[in-house]
Amino acid sequence: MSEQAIPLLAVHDLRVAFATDQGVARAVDGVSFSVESGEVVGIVGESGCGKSVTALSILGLLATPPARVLEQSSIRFAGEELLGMDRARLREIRGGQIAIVFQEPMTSLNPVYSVGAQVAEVLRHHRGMRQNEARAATMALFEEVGLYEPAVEYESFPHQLSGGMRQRVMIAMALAGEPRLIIADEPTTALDVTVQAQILALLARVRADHGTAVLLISHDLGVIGELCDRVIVMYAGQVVEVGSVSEVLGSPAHPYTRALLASRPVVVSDGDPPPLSPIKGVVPSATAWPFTCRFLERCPEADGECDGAAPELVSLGDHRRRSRCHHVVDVVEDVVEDTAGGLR
Amino acid sequence: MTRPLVEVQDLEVQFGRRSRATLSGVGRGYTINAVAGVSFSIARGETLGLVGESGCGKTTLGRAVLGLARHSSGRVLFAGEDVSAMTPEEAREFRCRAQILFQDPGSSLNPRITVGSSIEEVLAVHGLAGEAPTRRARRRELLHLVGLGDEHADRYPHEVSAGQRQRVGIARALAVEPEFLVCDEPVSALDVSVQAQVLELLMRLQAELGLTCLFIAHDLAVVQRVSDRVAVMYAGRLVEVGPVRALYRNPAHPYTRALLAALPGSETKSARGPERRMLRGDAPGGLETIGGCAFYTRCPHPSKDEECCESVPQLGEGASGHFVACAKSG
Repeated sequence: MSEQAIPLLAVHDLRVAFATDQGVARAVDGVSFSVESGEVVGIVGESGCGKSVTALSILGLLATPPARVLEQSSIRFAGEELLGMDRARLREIRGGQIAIVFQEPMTSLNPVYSVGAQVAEVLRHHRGMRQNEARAATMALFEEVGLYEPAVEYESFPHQLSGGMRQRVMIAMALAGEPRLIIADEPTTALDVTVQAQILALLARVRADHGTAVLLISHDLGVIGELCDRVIVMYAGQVVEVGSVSEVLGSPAHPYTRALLASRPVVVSDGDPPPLSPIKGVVPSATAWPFTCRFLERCPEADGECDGAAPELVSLGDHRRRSRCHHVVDVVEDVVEDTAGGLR
Repeated sequence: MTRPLVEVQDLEVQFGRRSRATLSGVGRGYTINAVAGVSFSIARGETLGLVGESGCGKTTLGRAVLGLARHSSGRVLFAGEDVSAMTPEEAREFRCRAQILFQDPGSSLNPRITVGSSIEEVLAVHGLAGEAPTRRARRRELLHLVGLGDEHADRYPHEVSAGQRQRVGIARALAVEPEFLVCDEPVSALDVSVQAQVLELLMRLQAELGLTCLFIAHDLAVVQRVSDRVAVMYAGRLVEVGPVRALYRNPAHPYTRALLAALPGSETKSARGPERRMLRGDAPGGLETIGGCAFYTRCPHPSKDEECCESVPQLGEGASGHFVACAKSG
């Protein structure tokens, strides 16, 4: 990956705070990451870790107040700063260059318009098509996303479609603007497992056919593993681990990632499944993040070394592989030994 | 062999509406066969896992077993007694022996009373644990049983975490010391880390108290952990029932195989290879009349043919205790 190329999406030191009755909740607290063109990047973490807030702030979809994006934050799309951008330009980018697919298509589709009209509206707004052109293009999109009776589905209202079909409509709507980036926020969480497999395959095909980058938000490591090239693991408003899917899921560097993997029940085809190991306790409150490592209280690997200041997100050799843990230094040293001083 | 604790025979549950005049004309009547002829039994101390996709009728089946949904035909026997033929006193006693744990403790707990009062309410309704001091002692005991402390008793449901709310749900269900527990998606609303905590608690309590369970879930991995036997439901019918090991090792029904193949996860990806079969479309909604096998339209089985459409396949025994309802398998 070349250092000088401008990434498609570059989030730098994103900080989002919410005013709540309990005080200021720092929901996203210094998050930085990038997405390259055509890349599928996953953000994984438990509820309340800040993954959805991160996604929504990219598109300026957070209600302010109560949310407030702090000043030092920067979100650049193809080099252009999205934060504080004027509304007209943001409207062009939103739905045009960047599209979003939400978890629950029932609440994000308008119940009183046919789904076809809603997709056609995107085509007219973002691609300047006329009514009849937009209609034909919508039907072509419907066919592409696996709605095989486009003429019937065009006239359907959201409540007449199944959850899987509604999500296909949402994906068709996302594709309508020919975006360079699709943000998918828990796109399969409300769906049954057989339909989830269909939608994941569809997203993979969209990426292969159009070279669209995807930022996939999910709490399910299985879904992330299925679709993504790289993974960002978030905990308590921060990035705690970054790396390729095979690295993060195969040899996780952060104790939280390891704990998350171990707590996840997996089907085994033969014999008894291994015992589950839950993560004890709960995520600390966003109004009072600890000054130490935020995972300290729940961490099964914590020791005396962890009591001090919060750990930084440090590089594990490669700048694309990072972890936020006091013990990570050991890992890096191991790597140094293994590769005979190839790192520093 | 001793008699199973729960026996369900040819159970049918229908929802519907008669045709009637409405402002916009005559509203057409319809009938949905939510549960269409289901038979199974659960032995004492056994956990039967019930899996299927949304709309397959698994929740309705669970409710019907407890007499919470009225069945149109068939029978549910609890310890040999017909659940629907109970007198009010017998029904009250039945409520102490059979309990339910709901999916979303956020909506099944009264938001206006503390969780401690919620637990005491159960005791009061059933006239258990007598006077206030004994009730409080029992409440304390129950909170400890599910891993909560005294400090939680005075909190309102919104003041505790989702995992803790489900623990309160468990405490309420166990307050009457039931023999049988229907768990309806008890962990699907929880984060994976918390889900593991609650599952572990449920499995420990089940073993300690010798509970008999009907464990309803859509998550095959969760069901594999908790169940002794597993039943797979599709469009109101059981399509496969078998011991947990045998069913996961040799899934016999094409639907069970498709469900397992659809699971995301790097762990299974390599084993599954490129020939992963994808089901098209959605499960039928129950309004359509289906002559033969309800799975026919989505079935990936290579040798499916007209025979599948002729009659509804019945559960037949393949290997010992492993039943499958498919004309082409088993």
